[in-house]
Amino acid sequence: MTRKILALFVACMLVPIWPVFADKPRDGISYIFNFYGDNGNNRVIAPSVALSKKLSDTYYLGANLGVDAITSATKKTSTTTSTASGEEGGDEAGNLHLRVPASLSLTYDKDDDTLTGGGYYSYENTYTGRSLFAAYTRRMNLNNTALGIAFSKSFDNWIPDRQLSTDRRSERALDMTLTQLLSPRQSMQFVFSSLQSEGFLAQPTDAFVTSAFTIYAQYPDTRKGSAAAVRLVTLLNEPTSFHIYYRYYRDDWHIQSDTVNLELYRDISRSLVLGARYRYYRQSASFFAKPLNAYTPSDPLVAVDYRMYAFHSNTVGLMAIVKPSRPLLRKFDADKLKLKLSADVFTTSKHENIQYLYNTDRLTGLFASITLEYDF
Amino acid sequence: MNRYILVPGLLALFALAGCTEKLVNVQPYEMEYFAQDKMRFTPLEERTAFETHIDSIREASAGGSSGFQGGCGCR
Amino acid sequence: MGMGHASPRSRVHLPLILFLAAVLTCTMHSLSFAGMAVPGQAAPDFVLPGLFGGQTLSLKDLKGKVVLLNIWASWCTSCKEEMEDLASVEEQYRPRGFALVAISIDNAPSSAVDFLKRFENRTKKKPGFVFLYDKDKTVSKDYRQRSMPTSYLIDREGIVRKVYPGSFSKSMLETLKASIEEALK
Repeated sequence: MTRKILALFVACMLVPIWPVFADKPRDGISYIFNFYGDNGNNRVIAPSVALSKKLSDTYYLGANLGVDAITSATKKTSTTTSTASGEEGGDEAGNLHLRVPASLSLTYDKDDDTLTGGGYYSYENTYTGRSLFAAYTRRMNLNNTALGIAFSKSFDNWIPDRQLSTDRRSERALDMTLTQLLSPRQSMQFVFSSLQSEGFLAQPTDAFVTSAFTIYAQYPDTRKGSAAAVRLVTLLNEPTSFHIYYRYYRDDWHIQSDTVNLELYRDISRSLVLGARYRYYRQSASFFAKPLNAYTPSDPLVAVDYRMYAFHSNTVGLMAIVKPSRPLLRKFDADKLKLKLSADVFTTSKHENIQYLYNTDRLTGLFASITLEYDF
Repeated sequence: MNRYILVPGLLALFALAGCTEKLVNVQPYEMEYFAQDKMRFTPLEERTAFETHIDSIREASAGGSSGFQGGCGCR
Repeated sequence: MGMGHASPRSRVHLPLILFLAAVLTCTMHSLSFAGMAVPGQAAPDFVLPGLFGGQTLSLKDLKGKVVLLNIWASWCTSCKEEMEDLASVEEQYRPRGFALVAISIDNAPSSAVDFLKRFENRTKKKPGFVFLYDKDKTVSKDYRQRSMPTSYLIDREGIVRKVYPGSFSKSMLETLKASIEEALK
């Protein structure tokens, strides 16, 4: 059974987005509902709760708990190369898997310094994820400048259906951030990330199946990459802001990528902000990627996943932030409530590996998010 | 890899070295716009976190995102 | 195309850069507070309109009272959070000649007015502050405000006794009360 989307969701929860603050840390709770679906018949429904609780004037406790309900299709074999795969045949079974991720963190916030440390754990029947993270931010120049450094290290394990060279998978990430206010209407941020992975880095279920042989994906044991990004936020006029983001990534697998993200937000009223975005992504191929039919069992490195090949994608989305103008149910202060909604559609370029894996020439999908925030 | 740490390290040093007053472009009482959701680096923080995970499974790249949200700096 | 290996020299550069950055970071802190209103100096006078309309008020009009000048805005979360505590302090010391002057520096006064209406509905109390509005942020400039919010304790002679950058924590509130008691003597 294919668990690509499932395993990838599990495997890539590596660097949590921990809050690193210019304002005081939040003292509140968020109820989040995330949804993902694509034309590869993969679905993820992921409700979660995120708590940030003030313990004292300087300490805050953070906790996240979620449940991911993941449905993925069984793999369909390529009609040009194979007979039935070794798996159960037929159309998608839509098997449901549950994954439970949780994280806990402690934040120390005093004057110009914020320090956060914590841990993350997730379990699902094919993968266990564990990581530790820490982040430090120093604000300077009357909060015009902020320097941040964040580190995370994961110690994950596959629980595979077959024998792997190793069931370990570990990653470490180091992010450095420089933020600077340029004027009362403009701010800029530079981010540099250094990433390193080791262990079994392919998907254990990825395989190229022919009538003569079956070969599983095999990647190098290590991977080192880095990314540099710049972000600019500008107030165009009183109700409108414009965001532009660019990232360049490269690694020692020879993959290079460019990402551009543009967002526009506008205050429609005191209670409503609407936004729209466009994102473009393109990447090159890894050094060991070649046409599927060119692989033989003697190849030490094999790529089946389209992500090891050159492709590009486009994403468009809409966002809304709603703040009630009067108390809700006469109990909840309007100042303390916020509802955030978003829906994005992405589509990739055509690729033969997408056709092979998903029986569709390009991947198209939707991801949506609803968050209700309440401040204590 | 070290040159990829040296360069941002130098950038940080430049930002710090004797430029304090010149880097104060916005006084604390002028930060009203940065307190607004639309002026934060990621106005929809939880969606950004989810999207980062989606991108990491749909693409081969990672990194380049920071948790720093900006804001009015009110303490 | 690989990443290359670090030479011994570049291995030294990184800790050195980080060390220099840390040193400069530490020394920056004192520089960023240069120019704050200094205790012992005369509080700069101002003439400002009331937030809800009405007559203008100057600091001179309050001479003879102990004044806590609080510069705030409705977009400042910590400013809003400390308001309930400050209302209690004002209520406690008002009979003894204490006044709390809250100056809003919002771009639009309606933002401050709307917040205060919601505050009153929620707490069922109207703060007894003197609410003023500073459209041009002249008080912030004259008092060299360095954080949001900032409060200035001014004695009966119009001298700044204490400056409180940031919002009041529970412990700082006790310190404030002790300072008000001292100034009221």
